[in-house]
Amino acid sequence: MTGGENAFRTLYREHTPALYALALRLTGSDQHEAEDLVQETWVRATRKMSAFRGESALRTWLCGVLVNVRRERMRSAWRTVEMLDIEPASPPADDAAVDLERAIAALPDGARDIFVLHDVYGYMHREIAEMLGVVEGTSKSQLARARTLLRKSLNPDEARP
Amino acid sequence: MSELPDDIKRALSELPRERQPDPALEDRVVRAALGRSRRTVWMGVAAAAAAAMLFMTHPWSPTGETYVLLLSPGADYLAPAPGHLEERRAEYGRWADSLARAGKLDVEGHLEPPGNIVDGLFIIRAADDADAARIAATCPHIRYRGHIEVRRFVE
Repeated sequence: MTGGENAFRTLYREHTPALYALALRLTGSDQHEAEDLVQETWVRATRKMSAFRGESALRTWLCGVLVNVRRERMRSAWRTVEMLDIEPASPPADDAAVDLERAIAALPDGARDIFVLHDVYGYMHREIAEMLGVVEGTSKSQLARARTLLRKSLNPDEARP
Repeated sequence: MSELPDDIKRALSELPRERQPDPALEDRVVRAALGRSRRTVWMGVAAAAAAAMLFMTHPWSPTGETYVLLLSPGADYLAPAPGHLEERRAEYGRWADSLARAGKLDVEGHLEPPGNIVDGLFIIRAADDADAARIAATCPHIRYRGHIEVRRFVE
């Protein structure tokens, strides 16, 4: 094993658990798809590592690569994703957390990406806009939409007139 | 902006931020990310002119520590004059070659982004932190007031 490979494995082990958790949430807990996303993220990252300018944390940059890899894959017409039938890979212990994970998984793709990045991972709209190549206003409006849908999903009474 | 109730906010804050994937994924990723031959990577670059280049170089020295040098322009970077980016890149390349001849370079990655900015990544072998800093200081990037972050890998 070369030193470069060792170094790469060290980077992999440091950042992959976070990337994998993000991939699971973005894919509605599709374990297979999440692993594919993580793999493609690292492949892209090694080819683009020098594009990392040190202006943000390496993990933020990697998360941005992952989100964009996923969005590219979602645009492929041949793929279909059935998220609601997939159980979380490592289900949280309590029912409320399971409900929350399912509600997040059930959000529309675009809104879910932004909701997960903002409300789960704490990224700012400016960072999300940069990651996704959208304007901040889009990030804000999609977040509001996601929150409304999530509230209705978790509190069905709220949806009734 | 639509706000969430406190109980949902609390539940969100308690969701795990990290999950361990199947351990077998690591080897798959290493093969996929580093297993490309130099020829394959360069062909990829030819197909996508703006793509980054990353390739393995000399056999690895068995002693010392592994460091990654992350080059970024920083606020004071003296970018090459229009039309002189290739010349600047060649200068960095000669520096990388000298490290490779000394058995101190393992991975060189560099990029031609839009605009006249040079940045990149090098994984080097050095005796210790001071040696790594000394090697980094010889990089042309420093002469052009660029920023180099030196990270030691602890295994």
